[in-house]
Amino acid sequence: MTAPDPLLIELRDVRKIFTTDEMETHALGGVELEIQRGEYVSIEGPSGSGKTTLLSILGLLDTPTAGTYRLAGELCSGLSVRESARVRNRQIGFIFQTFNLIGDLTVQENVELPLTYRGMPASERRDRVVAALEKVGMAHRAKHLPGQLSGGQQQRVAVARAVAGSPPLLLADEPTGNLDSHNGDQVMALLQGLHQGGATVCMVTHNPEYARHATRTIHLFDGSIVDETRRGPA
Amino acid sequence: MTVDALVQDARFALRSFAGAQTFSVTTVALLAFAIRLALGAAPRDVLLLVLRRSAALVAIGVGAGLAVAVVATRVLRSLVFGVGTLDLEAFSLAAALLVVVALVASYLPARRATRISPMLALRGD
Repeated sequence: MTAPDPLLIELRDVRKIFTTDEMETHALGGVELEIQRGEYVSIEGPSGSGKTTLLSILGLLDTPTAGTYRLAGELCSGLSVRESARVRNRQIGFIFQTFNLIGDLTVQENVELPLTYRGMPASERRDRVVAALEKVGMAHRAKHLPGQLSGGQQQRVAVARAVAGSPPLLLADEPTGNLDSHNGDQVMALLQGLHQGGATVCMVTHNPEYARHATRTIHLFDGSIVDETRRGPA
Repeated sequence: MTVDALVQDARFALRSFAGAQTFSVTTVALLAFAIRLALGAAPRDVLLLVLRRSAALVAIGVGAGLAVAVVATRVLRSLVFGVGTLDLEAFSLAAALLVVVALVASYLPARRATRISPMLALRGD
């Protein structure tokens, strides 16, 4: 068995233009980016700099207007809706600012959700859900509904959902944006632990302190990468 | 379809029924579909989910309707000439018509749900 390519993400001249009746907005202009497996990258920039657009393209939630995107060696530009869903499900774990747990599903069912779309056997799904919930210290809340949890607990469940399928890439969009500093620190510690366990993490954050947890910070401005800061392994 | 999915659908239908809600593609529902799509559901998965949940609601409605009808016909029998206690043909036709109408009606919001952008999950609105 050959080792996986260390290059996980490769963006070449990626552009994104939003067109309305009256104007064109250039959200991303010729972004070139490489992320190696095991990196912890934070994306910083002012509002409107293209952070969320970049994250949405990395997560195959949106498509670039031009340029190419390779994820784990697979060319993702031009995939069909169904193929994009398959790649998202197997290769990417999402952590959203607003947690995005489904309110009428229990914690266990929420964590299990991405695995059900893989056609994974129920016994394996259950094992993975238990392991993921134990990893974030939420196994005791498996039967609860999201509405019965605090914001910090919901985000920990969302982290469990993101890692349950062992995707090579974790994308986090302002994961502490809706949390107080105590819960924010806990979620950041979880991400740090996942990174130290080998996960590749790519996170959008406004918090400079949290950005320093990353081994590399990309600074975006007006849709372009204007600077990068590299640090030693955290 | 797994047993778990059936249990989730039945639970959803019971909650909806208890809350006297009809299944509609509300903002909350749209966000839930967007989350599912973002997590890797194919549009077909969402279509089937909406149809399954509608079917679960219809099944509860038909069951309750038949039970009420059986009781009502017994009452009517003593009041109206020519009414039988258990007209299987009428019951079956009415139930079948209701199922067909409900499923056709739910197909449109189901199709709409498949066209939601998973970007909605990222924006969270």
